[in-house]
Formats: sequence, structure tokens, C-alpha cells
Amino acid sequence: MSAWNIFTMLLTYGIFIYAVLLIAFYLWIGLYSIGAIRKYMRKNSITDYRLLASSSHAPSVSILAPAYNEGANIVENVRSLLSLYYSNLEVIIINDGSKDDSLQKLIVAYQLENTPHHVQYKIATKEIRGIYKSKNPAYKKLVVVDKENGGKADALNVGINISANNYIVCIDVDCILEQDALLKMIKPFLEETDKKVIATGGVVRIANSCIIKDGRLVKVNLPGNYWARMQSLEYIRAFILGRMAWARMNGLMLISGAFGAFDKEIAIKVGGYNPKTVGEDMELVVRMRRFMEKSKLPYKVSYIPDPLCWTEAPTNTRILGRQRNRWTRGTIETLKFHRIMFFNPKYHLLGMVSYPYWFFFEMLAPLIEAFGIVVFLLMVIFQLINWHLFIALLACIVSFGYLYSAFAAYMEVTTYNMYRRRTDMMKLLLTALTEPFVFHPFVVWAAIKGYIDYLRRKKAWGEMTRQGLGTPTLPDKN
Amino acid sequence: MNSGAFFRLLSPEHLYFSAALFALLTLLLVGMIYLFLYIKKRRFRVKKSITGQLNDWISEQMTMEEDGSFITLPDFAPHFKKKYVRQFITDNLINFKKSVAGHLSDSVVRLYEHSGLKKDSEARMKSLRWHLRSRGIYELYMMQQRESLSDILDYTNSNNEYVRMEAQTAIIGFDGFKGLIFLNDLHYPLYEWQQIKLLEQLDAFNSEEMPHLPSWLRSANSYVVQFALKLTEVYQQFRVHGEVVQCLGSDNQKIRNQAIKTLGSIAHEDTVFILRQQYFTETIANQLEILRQTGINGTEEDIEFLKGRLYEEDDSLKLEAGRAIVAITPGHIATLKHIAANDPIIHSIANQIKYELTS
Repeated sequence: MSAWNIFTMLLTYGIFIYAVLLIAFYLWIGLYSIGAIRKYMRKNSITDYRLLASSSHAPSVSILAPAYNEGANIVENVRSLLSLYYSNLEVIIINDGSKDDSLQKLIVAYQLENTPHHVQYKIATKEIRGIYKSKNPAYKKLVVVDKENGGKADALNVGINISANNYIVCIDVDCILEQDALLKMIKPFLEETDKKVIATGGVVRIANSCIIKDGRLVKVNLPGNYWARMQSLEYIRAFILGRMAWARMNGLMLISGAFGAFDKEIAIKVGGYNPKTVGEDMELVVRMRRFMEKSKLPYKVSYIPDPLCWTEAPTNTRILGRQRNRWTRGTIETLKFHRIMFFNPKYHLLGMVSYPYWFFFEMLAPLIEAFGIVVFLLMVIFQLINWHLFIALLACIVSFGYLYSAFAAYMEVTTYNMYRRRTDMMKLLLTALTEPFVFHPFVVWAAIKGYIDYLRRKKAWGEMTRQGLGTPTLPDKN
Repeated sequence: MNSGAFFRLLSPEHLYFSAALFALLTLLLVGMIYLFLYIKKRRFRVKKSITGQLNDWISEQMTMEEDGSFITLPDFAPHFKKKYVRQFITDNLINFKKSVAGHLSDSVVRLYEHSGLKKDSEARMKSLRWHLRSRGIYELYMMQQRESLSDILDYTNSNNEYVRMEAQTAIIGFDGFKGLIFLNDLHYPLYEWQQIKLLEQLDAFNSEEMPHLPSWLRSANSYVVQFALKLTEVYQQFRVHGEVVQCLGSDNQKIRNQAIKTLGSIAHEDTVFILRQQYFTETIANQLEILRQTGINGTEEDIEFLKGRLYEEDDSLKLEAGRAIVAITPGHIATLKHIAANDPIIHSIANQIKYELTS
């Protein structure tokens, strides 16, 4: 057998096995998530969360919200955070060396004054310029930290150092949280038994085209913009199916940086967020898990499917591309930092299943897909393609993708049903039809650029310009 | 698998068949989505009409005399046979009952009993499915069905956590402090969430004797010990000071932490001394708690101990020690400042404490 034959055979078998495993994982995720969501909904259908809101026995919580050049909406965003239902709460806004007037606006709006506050740098960070508090009792929960610019991870580490409470909830300052979001996020920590709950993740939903008044979500609408609408479907698949299934198996490696709660003690023990990666959210969860595995301490990373956090999704390819580029770099960096866990039985499920899944099906997937496209084009040029087989294979893969999206839509409708109008659901399903030909190739392209930037050692986040979540008069159009 | 078999598996016919199957399943799911939305919309209309009827009935009840023993039942026919309708009415009645008291609350209970909804709840409580059973218990308790008490009591030690928690909540709801009897035989965890819930429930009752408290504090179930410590703290049960001190020897960090807090609320003249002895064997979290309690219950005699803590490695301990010194005697801020003259960290801490005193 010639070397060429061996190569093509390995390639054919390799890609076939890869595709079969990928489909098997998707099937498993879809089916396994059903039980997790059903159990969650049943067990919480009669839960009265309000008692935790007012109870003096409830654990104290610190919200950490880094802000960089958020002057346009910072005052309203902070007001929204201060209005959350939770009495034992501290809201820490970390002004990460903003170049705009964010700090000044906060000082004026909340009658803040620079206060003497001793900070122990348990986690090394950039210097703190000042800590501001208000003497107005209405804002007694608020702490504003002004610091030198050091990036999101550094800002969050400052928040961890300042925080006076045992649990920290890290959020993006421009996210809109449901009023009972904290109550639901903290509950898993209060239900721990022999397994320590080290972190809880929450679902993030797309807020584009939704109606928001005074920092509160008033009406949910399906985004009018194609890219944002596509991300709505993507988020449903990722959050309702993917993360629920992984959490049920206790194999979750990622909690979104937009909304996650952590046990502060463990977060400090592992050294806080890593400022050397742009995927600091995933990296922290992996490091906390690795620490618990190494310490041989039973633990759990919990996840709740309620739609509690709403964020603005990129509405154009420029911003979306930057975001996906960064996500790819973050994934590569995190997996590289923790490569010792790869198929390492010492790390149990984390090393034998979660890490390899992320490596093969999240990190390598864009490369394999891009390679497939290049090979396909070469085969077309050299007229080596078996069109009959190609079309059949394409139909099979595309129809499986549709099936998975339809299943995600079905789960959404039968659980939280945020998009109640039948026309919205039709739009969502029709948008899904375009995914394999428009959205997915773009995401793969952005990920490949992420690889290139990673190899060029680019560390920048990439500017994430947002339009702001106000009350849209008209749905945004692409 | 040889390559021939492999390529047969990957034949266009097989692939088209798979694609057709996936497409068919997709269409089926889309159909199910729309069927679900259609049913949901129909049910929404029914629920809206029932909500209107319930609101009319509630308005009528509000205008009635308090002693009205006879109540007219709203006519929910023809929907009443439907299971989801009955569940909807029960849920609404429970929600309404949560917000009212007196004769209105009694009227809601009577409507629940006379309309047959109670039988549904009883059937649910006897279901083998945990979520139905816990819901049944919840409904019966919310509707004050005391005759179900003995059945519910059996579930307080159920191996299903959700059934168990609802049953415990119900027993406390019915009997207040007497309901805590279930702690005697509890073999399963009593989550912190459940502990908070029970404490909030007990808050609605007048404080009563807890004769079994000493045995709960010695329970083999660590969750029972933690909860008993919280009960001791909240209801200031000075008589079990000795048992609480024993808890300081527990291997469980959470029990020791709660014991420290509890001792702070039932402090004797020698409590701070006991806590000071404990300090040197504790975790940082528990040391912080000891310093807090020393600040609350300490005297001038404890100042030297606290001053020593200003030289701990962990700044949070220094800060808490500084706070405790000033809490015992505010004038000691001068002592802190004196120490601060040679130590920039203590200087920073003293400034913070001074600010805290004035704000």
C-alpha cells in the first residue's frame, strides 16, 4: 500500500470516527440534558425564594462588576444591580482605569466619597487608586473601586481582594439581571452536602430587541438582527442543552464570565483570575476544579437553567468576529495551561472526558472544518470529488444540525418559553436553516483568525463596542 | 471493519436514509413545538377565564360578613374535570392565601376542601413520584389540612430530599417548635437552605421550650447539630452552653464556626476565655469569627490578646482584631494609632476603623 493510500485511508477513517463521536456527543448532550432540566424545574416549582431575600440567616454575597469606559450606561446599570432582591449584598464596581467619565458619574449619582480602606493583596493586582463609598443609606451596599487599567481578570481579582463576603458573583456590568437572579444562584451553595459546591453558573440570554426600562427587562423579544437572532439559538443550545448535561455529569468546565458565582475561599486559594489569558472565565473554573481534584476534595460545579442574565449580543460581523476570535484564543490558552489533565486518570471525569471533549470538539473543531473545506476545494479543482457521495454526506450532516437546533427550540418552548409568539418561533427556526451556510462558516473563519492571532501571541481582547440596552423603538435590523 | 464494509456504510443510500430520518425527526419536533404552543394558548384562554371567576369570587368573599359559614362555590365547569385546570386553581388559591388572613383565608380553605381539590392533593401526596408527593404535601400544608399531619410526619425522614424537605416544612408550619421533634430521628442531610427556611418559619411562632435541644446538639447527624446550634443562637438557649462548648471539639469546620457564633449569643463570663483558647487551633474563617465575638462580648482583660492578633500574618485577622479592640472600648482607637506609628499596615487598618466608627 502506498504512502498516499495510507494517508487517505487514515484521513477518511479519522474524520469518520471524529464525526461519529461528535454526533454521539451531541445526542448524549441533548438526551442527558432533558433529565437535568426536568428535575430542576420540578424541584423548584414550589420553592419560595423570597425567604432568602429577607432572611438574616442568608449568606452574604458580593457582586463584582468590572467596568471599562462604560460611562454611557454605568449609572443605570449600577442602579439595576442595587435593586436586586437580596439583603446581605455588597455591590463592588471596579473602574478598570476607564478613560471616560465613568467614575465621576458614579461619584455624583451615588454621592460617593473616597474612603480609607485597607486592602490585602491576597491576589496580586494593579494598584488601587481609591475606594469610594456613600454615606447615603440608600447606597450603603455600593463600593466603587478605582484602579489602574489591567484588564478584566485583574479588575475581578481586585474585586475578590476587596470583597468582604464568602460568595462572589462575577458579572459584566452591562448585563441585565432578573430580580431574583442572586437568590437562584446562591441556592446551590446552600444545598451542598459532602460535595463542596465551588461554583454555580447561570444561563445568559440575548437582550437585543428586548424592552428594558430602568435597568429591568420588561418584555422579551426575539432579536430583529440576523446575527443576534442566530446567537439566541446558539445560546439556547449551549446553555439549556450543553451546560445542563455537563453539569448533571459534574463535568462542566466553563461558566460564562457574564454571570457566575464562586466560593471566594477556593477562588483565592487558586490565585484568582489569570490575567495572562483572554479566556479568564473558563480558566478559573478549570483551575478551581483542578485544585479540588489535586486536593482530593469532593466537589461540584453547579448550573441553573433559569434565564437570569440578559446581555447584548454583537450585531455585526466585525464585533462578532472579534468575540469568537477571543473565545478561540481563550480556549487554546486554557487547554494549554492545563494540558497535564489531558486523558490523565488522576483528574477523573475532568481529565478523561471533559478536557478531551473540549480539546477535540471545541478547540480543534474549527481547524478540522477549515481543513475539510480546503480539501474539498482541492478535490473540486482536481476533479476528484464524488458528487453523489458528497451531496449525501452534506445532506446527512446538515439535517442532523437542523434536528439538533429543532430539539433545542423544543426544549426552550417546553421549559422557559421566552419567545412566546408563534411568529418568533418560526423566525428562529427559519434562521436555523441558514446556519450551516452563513453563520457557521463565519464562526469557523473567526476561530481560524483566533488561531492565527494566538500564534502571533496577540493578547488583546478586541474592542467590544455595544449599542447599549435601552428601550428600542424599533427592532434592530441587519 | 474492512474498507469495503466501511464504504458500504458510508454509501450515498445509507447517508440519504439518515438525512431523511433526521429531516423527518426535525419536522416532527417542529410539529410538536407548534402543537405545544397551540395547547398552551388554549390553556391560557381557559386559565384567563378561571382567573376572572376566581377574582369575582374573591371580591364577593371580601364583602361578606366574617362569620359567613356558608360559601358559594364558583362554577368552574366545564373545565373542572381537566387536571391542569384543577392544578391551576389550587396554585392560585395557595398564592392568594399567602397574602391574606382571617375569614378570607378560611374561605379559601373551604373552597379548596369543598371543590374536591383537597382530594387531588391527597392523591398526589400518596403518589410514588417524588415531585408529585412533595407537591401534595406542600398543598395540604398550605391549606392547613391538619388531618394529614400523621401521614406527613412519616415523610420527614424520607430518603427523597425534596419530599423530606416539604414534609419538614409542613410539620413546622403546623406545629411550630413542637414540630422540631423530627430532628430526633433524622438520618439524612438537613441542607443549609432548609435550615434557613425552617428558621424563617419558626419566626412566626412564639418561642417555646425545646426539651430535646441538648440531644440534638449531641446528634450523630452533623446537620442536626448545625441546626440545633442555630436554634440555640437565635433563641438564646443559655442552658445548653456546656453542650455548645463541646461542639468546639467537632471535626466539622462548619459546626465549630456555628458554635463560635452561638457562644457569642449565649455568652457566660468565661465564654471569651474559652474562645481565646480555641483561637490557636482554628482555621482563619473561625479565627475571624472568634475575634468578632470577642469584640462583642470581650472586656478590657481581652485587649492584650487582641493586640497580639494585630501581628498575625493575615491582614483580615489584623483588621478584625482592630475592630474588636475598638468595639470593647472606642477610646482604644488611640492605642491602635500608637501601634500604627511604626507599622504602615496597622496605620491603614486604623484609618479604616476610624472611618467605620464615624459612618
